[in-house]
Amino acid sequence: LSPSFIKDVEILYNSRVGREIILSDLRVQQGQAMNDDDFGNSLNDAFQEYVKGHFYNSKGNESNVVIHGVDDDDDDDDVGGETYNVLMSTERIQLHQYHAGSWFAKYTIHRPTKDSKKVTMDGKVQLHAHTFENGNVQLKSNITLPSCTCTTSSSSTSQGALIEGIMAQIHQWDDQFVLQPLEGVYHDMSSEILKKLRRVMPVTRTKFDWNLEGHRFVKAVSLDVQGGK
Amino acid sequence: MDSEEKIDASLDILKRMPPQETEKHLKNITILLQPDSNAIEDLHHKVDCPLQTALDTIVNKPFVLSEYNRAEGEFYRSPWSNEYFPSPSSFKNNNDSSNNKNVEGMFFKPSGELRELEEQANEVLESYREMYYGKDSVGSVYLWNQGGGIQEGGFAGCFLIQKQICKEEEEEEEEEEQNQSGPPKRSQSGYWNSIHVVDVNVLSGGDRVKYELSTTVLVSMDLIYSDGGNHSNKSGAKEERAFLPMVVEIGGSMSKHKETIRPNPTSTTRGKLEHIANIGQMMEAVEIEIRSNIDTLSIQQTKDVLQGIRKDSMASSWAGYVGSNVVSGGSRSSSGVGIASLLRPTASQNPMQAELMARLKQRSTCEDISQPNK
Repeated sequence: LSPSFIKDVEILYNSRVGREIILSDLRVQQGQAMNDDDFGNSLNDAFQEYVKGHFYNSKGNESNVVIHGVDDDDDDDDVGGETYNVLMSTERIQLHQYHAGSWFAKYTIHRPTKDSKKVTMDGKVQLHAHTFENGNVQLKSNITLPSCTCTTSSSSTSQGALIEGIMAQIHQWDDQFVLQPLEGVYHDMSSEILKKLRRVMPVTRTKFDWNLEGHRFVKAVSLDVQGGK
Repeated sequence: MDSEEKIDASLDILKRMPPQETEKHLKNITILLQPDSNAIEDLHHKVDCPLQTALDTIVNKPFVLSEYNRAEGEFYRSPWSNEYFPSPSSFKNNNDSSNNKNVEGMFFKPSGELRELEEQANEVLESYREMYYGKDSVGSVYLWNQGGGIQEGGFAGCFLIQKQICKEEEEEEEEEEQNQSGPPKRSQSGYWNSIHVVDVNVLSGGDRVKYELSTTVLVSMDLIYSDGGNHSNKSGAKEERAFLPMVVEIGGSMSKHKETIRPNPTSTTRGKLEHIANIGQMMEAVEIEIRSNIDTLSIQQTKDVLQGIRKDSMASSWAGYVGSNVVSGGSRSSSGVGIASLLRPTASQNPMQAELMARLKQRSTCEDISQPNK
């Protein structure tokens, strides 16, 4: 098991789960195209701020966001639309507290033409929480966000407004489709599903009586009753 | 790498994998371990997979499949009729010629006192299981000799319970004119597997008996929301509901180990029933403990982890701020009504929000792509 093999496996794993965006330098990730792209850069700055405001980035947490801009391959007109792929991720590892977790979000923002005032957005969020204090309990969640369009009213001219609209939408997505349902889920898990799997107590409200004779008697009686009907 | 190291490494991997996928990963690791069949067998004994069941066609009752009632290949013994399924007669015939005795030996069947004890244990477990898990659960007890055999008071066994649910819930559709929250279509499923392995040994002196119980509980709970959980219907009678799956899975495995020492039940058959009572009481206590652990600790802990990741998680009171200011004047206002109606305006809770709120006023709108074009 040479170190280079281990390194290769690590790289493959990181790319599969998106960890590389946490571990790598942001500027290096951005391609040449982004440097000329005002909108892309502003979008990038807006996302950086969003991540800072919403995700912890210290004491065992690491968060990061990366944007790739991809030019639309549009032969019909030269207006040149852009698609921005945003990867946002936060990872928390606390081995001494026996837990770890990650929040990984992937958004696609599509701007049909260069100066368009309208973008369409798509996204997916993946959550993973793991606690291993007494065994191994993991929560995994996959959420697909609904497609959306974001439009600036015609009176505003700067693209700042569009960017703010996009960020507001991201925020709304997070709240409405991730955080709120999650609360409902936790409630359901506890009160509904776990109860359906195993009752807290039998209907008799007492612990089970392990005396075999008693049960045989009960069974015989109930069979009798059924036969009698 | 020697066998010990291989097994340790494999267990290391398996305890980190999502518990629901244990079986899949066990298979893959087995492939890696080939052709070391000793290591493979050891590993299978050490790893607990979700339990499967099969039907005992002689008495028409289901029983649980496990390593403890398995014989050569894929034959499993039913505790109800004490027979192997599928019937191994063809297997026996094929291997008959030279190794008759060996083949029979592969298909262990408890007999005499041990078998009686096993039958009674299965009976009691059935009642216990129905009280806690309902009628659609499956449970089995398998006993085998050890430590001098049942005559000396020593034996071992496993108590297995499996419960599965797979359910869909769909409430009635509400009137479309009302801007009501559309009922989310939810599907819940999951399983609970109890695996109790007990060792019974008479202590020297003969008057006391030691029970050692190792319990593993495998739980899985899956929730699949279509329609994005609590997401409410925006507006419009003819809107098509987009399929927005939200999948949340919680899976876990917890193990506990307990020991008790009790006075040795008398050697009569009646007395042996006390073994079942003793073991049963331990088992019940452990299950109650684990269930409450799963409920309070583990589920809560995963929630805490996510709260440690995201700053404003669970602060649902500020959900409303975006919608109320997003709607702007002009032709877009009518389509924006849907968003505003479902989000309540609330006071902002930190400076960043306040700034964003102010900037958003009158500057942009966001609308659901599924709304009809104006």
